[in-house]
Amino acid sequence: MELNEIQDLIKFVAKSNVSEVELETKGFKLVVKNKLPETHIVSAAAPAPVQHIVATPAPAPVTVAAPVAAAAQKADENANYITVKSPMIGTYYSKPSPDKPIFVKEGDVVKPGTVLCVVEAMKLFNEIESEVSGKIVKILLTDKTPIEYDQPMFLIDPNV
Amino acid sequence: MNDKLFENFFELDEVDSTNAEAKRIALENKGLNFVLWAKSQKKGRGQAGNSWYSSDNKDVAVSFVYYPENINVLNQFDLNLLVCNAVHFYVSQCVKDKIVQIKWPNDILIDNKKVAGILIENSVKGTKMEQCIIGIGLNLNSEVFPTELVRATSLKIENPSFNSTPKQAIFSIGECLEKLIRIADFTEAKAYYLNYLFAFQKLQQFKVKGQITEGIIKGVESNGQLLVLTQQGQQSFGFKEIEFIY
Repeated sequence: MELNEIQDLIKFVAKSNVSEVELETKGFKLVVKNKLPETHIVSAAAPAPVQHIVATPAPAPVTVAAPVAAAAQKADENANYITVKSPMIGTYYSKPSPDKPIFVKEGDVVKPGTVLCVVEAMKLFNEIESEVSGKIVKILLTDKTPIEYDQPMFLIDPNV
Repeated sequence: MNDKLFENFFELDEVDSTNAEAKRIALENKGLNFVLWAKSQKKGRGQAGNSWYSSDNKDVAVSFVYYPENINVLNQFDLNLLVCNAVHFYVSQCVKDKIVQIKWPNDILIDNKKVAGILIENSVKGTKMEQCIIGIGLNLNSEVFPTELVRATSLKIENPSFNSTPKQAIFSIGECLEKLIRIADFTEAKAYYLNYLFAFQKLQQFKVKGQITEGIIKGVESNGQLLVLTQQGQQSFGFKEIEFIY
């Protein structure tokens, strides 16, 4: 990775609100940490105490800057996703009944009150409603599986 | 809270399932507590997707819809206790010389035969119970059941002099349920439930993970799980993790 690319990455991280970006390719690992909210743009040559660059040895010729930006973007989004967790122990159902379509799929936009799934607990059936507006980024469970209290069920991106 | 919790009484000739119909009505009447009675229910949902048989104006197919204020989502089994107790109390009054029990989590038995089933459907937002739909199927006057329901019975079968209409039964159960909801004494409710719990403190055969095993029911946890003492020690079971053999 070229010095100017590292500098660009640091600038990018500093401008964003992410706390940490980790980049790993063959034989090369770079971690840029951001001490929020004191973000300063610094050069790689003279890292200020607020930011740390950890470059593990054996730097191999590394990729272009574009994927780096993408990685940073991803980290940024992840930090802002809302995790919907199970309010109880029970069984997770993705559909109202076996012959009906699923409540929600990845990519669906939901609003407060949209039914996301059913959790059955001791023969009491609970329709779990969304508390937020956003897009379903990830469904973390499959139909008819046991679920624990507080277990993550959905990732929702509220910035849609 | 209204002066009377279940003041609004809707009556329909026929529905697929009273819970499903109640859900539709509730969507158009946000926040309204009501009772929905159907003279005939064609696709009542029973245990594990089995249908609940309910013949024309002979039996009870009813749903109570209400918005609880004092029940946390983690304690929702408390609501199940109240509903079971209300139905158990009514059935006990109707068949005085029989053994009326509650089979965990929420069936009502007369001399080991099923007379009533309960299906509770909630909507939950965060940790708040928003809406509860309490479906009750109770066999009153039917005297013949489909052959696959070998363990079904009715109040009329168990007590030939029984003489009440579904509507009267619903009013009695509704009144009792309303009282229990208002009092909200869950310690007392748990004591009543355990007192009439089928196989409580008795050696009982179960099927667990396909294996027949023996155990003694020691209680019910606050989340509703059944506490059973087996040779492996005391264990908690969810609804589908344990099956009664009786």
